[in-house]
Amino acid sequence: MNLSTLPKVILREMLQYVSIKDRLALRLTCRAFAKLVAETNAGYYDGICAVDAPTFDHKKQPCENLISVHIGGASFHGVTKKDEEINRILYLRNLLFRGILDDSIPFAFVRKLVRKVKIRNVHLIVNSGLQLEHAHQLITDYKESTLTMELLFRPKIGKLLMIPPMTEMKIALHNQSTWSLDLFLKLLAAQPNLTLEEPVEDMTLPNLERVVQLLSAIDHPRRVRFRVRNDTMSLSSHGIDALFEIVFVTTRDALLRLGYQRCLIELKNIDWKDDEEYADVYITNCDAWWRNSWQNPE
Amino acid sequence: MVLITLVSSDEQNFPVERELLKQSGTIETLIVNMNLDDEDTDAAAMPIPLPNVKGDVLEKVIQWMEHHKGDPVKEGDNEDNNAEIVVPQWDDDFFKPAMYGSKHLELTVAASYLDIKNLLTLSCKAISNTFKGKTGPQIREEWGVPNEFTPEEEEAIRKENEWSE
Repeated sequence: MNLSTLPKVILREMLQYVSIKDRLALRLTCRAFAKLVAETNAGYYDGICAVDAPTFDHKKQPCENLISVHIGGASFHGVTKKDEEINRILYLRNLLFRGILDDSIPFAFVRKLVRKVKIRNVHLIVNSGLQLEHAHQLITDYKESTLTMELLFRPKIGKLLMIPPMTEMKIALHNQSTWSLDLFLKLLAAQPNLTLEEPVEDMTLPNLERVVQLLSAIDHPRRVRFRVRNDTMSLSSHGIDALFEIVFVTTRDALLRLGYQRCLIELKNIDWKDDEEYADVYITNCDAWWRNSWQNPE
Repeated sequence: MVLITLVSSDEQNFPVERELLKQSGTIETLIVNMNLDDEDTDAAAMPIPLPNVKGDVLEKVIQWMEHHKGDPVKEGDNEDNNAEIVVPQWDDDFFKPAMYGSKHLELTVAASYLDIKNLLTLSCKAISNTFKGKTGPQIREEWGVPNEFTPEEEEAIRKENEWSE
């Protein structure tokens, strides 16, 4: 008996514990092993297939035409974004293992695969224009489901506003950008439950009043969460009680709760001295629910 | 202490403590089917034939089970593929003398046949450890695998492999 003549069930078990680099070496032992390596999954490796793009060269200059591909323990650097190169990577990946789930599986295939599956909650994480296109297709496919979205990039304004109303829409760009007041108001009209991670510009108290006026005029439940600069809001220099009804104030979390027509507003991390850079703002027009919970704080 | 006799393919008899055999799914099934656990059954008079395991291999399997007596018995497939399995020192020492030879491979095949999952996992892991950092020809030489590749085929695979770091 020799290694290559072991029963397949044992060889497959064994291959689970072999790293990608050692798989490369195993391919060179014999044909049976080259075939076995290609036909088995890659065991315990996390992040089995990932692509970095763009990568940077040693001068820290963007190399937008190059990508790095990581397959388990092996890395392929300086791969040009050409079909020929990508196909070469996929070819090599096919020689190394099967059963990999990654972005290289065509969306159309995945869509077809799940077409007849009932999915009650569909959460879409969208990080590129292509993924947004795919998200639109899934939204069409799952009109009856609860749809939520996490948008991780900023599409062009037209495309951003064309996203249908989500049960929850969170936009987190994870960069230093801000939202203009104008675009914020448009988003507010488009999405009933909106969370913005990046701050909204020009959110003075009068502009905050514009926001709550807009929300108060809408009959359907609306919620919005966003961030503002404390110095823009400038709570210390305005007569806040002239504009809003003060419902609750506490120094814990620097919290202020305000009422305005059908809306309730929660300002968190507010700073009268403008030491704290950003405050968090939550507004809802579901006044009954909020009044009950806010007027009886723990 | 209840003893059950196992009979290897070369007709060697191995009386084994009943408790130890719980580690083997195959033998456990036979014991249940043959009612060997019943008080009325004379287990000593009913040896279990294992036609696929030679005496010297069965002896090693029993030695391994004796050391692992009381260990939790692994059931079903390994669902935790993400956890890296470490071969304990005792098992490493146990496998080492026969490693690279047919005896270790026979032990692994016996573990699979007897459905002793922990032994199979550790044995496979020990084999995979011998590949770490080795080249294809080194693995071939150590394990005595004949080279079937033409120089051209070998060169083509090498070129594909060179592409990765």
